[in-house]
Amino acid sequence: MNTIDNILDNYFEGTTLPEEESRLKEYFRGNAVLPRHEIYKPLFAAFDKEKQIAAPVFEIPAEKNRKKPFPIRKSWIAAASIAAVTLLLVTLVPFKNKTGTPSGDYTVFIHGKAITNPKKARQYADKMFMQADEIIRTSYEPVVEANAIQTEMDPGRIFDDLSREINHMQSINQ
Amino acid sequence: MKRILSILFLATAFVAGASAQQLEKLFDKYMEDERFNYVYQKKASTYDRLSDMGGNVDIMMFDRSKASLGRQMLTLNSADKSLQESFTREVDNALKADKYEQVSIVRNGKNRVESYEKVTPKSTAKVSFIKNPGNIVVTLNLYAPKK
Repeated sequence: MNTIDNILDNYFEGTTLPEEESRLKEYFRGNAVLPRHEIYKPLFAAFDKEKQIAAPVFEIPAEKNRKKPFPIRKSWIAAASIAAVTLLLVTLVPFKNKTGTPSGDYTVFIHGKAITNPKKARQYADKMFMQADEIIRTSYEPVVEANAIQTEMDPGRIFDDLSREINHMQSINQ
Repeated sequence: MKRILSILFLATAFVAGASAQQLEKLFDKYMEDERFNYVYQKKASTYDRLSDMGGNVDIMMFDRSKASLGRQMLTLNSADKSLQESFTREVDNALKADKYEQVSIVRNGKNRVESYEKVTPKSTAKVSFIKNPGNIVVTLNLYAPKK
């Protein structure tokens, strides 16, 4: 029993091993408990009882305020609304006045600055379009000349002219 | 649900963006840029539209069956060679993206003028692209078939 005394000493000092604690519990559960150890019996009985107490099962209650699923119909209405607004924006944006000025017919930016005076805007526009036209016209000049030469050197036309001339001369001789 | 709506919104925005004409986007991009001059005429008159012939009646016939939907022009005002090159490239890429058909190219010395056309059932777009050194100009004329 010395051993039990030793283990008890160690137990209260908190230095017992798990198997020693099991042995103590076993000892106090049995009927061979020595009278000097009787005082400890309720303590170990209490430990045993405590062991039997099962923790109450705690169930997490279902969320009462759980969000309702978004109805399919509502989602389609939302999607259609977004699509309609986007389409409207896309349709309207290209038709906006380019300067935001009331002049409307002409929009002119010179070096990044808007010409807000409609008369001046028109003058600038006419001048700039004319300059571009002039560049295009002069660029095409060689093509025009080449076409004129091609028409002049057309064999069919030359033969027609010659035959007309011969016919004319023959008619004079007759 | 939010995810579906976001995807739908992005898809709509993408389709809308992709459908916009690249060349017109380019006009919008540079119209207020100080390195450029920009002109827009809401509706070109018959007299104004004579430029469509490119000064050459043999090459391009003036088409009276179309009504003007306006014309615009962008001129680069910069001697910066790299800018001239990059802008030229941008216009070329936009013309390709918009599927314009090249109608003519005229080279006269270092000067070069290209004309493009795109015909759809709803409209006809004509582009003149002047690529002369130090003088880069793009004009876009839009027409609708007369009813």
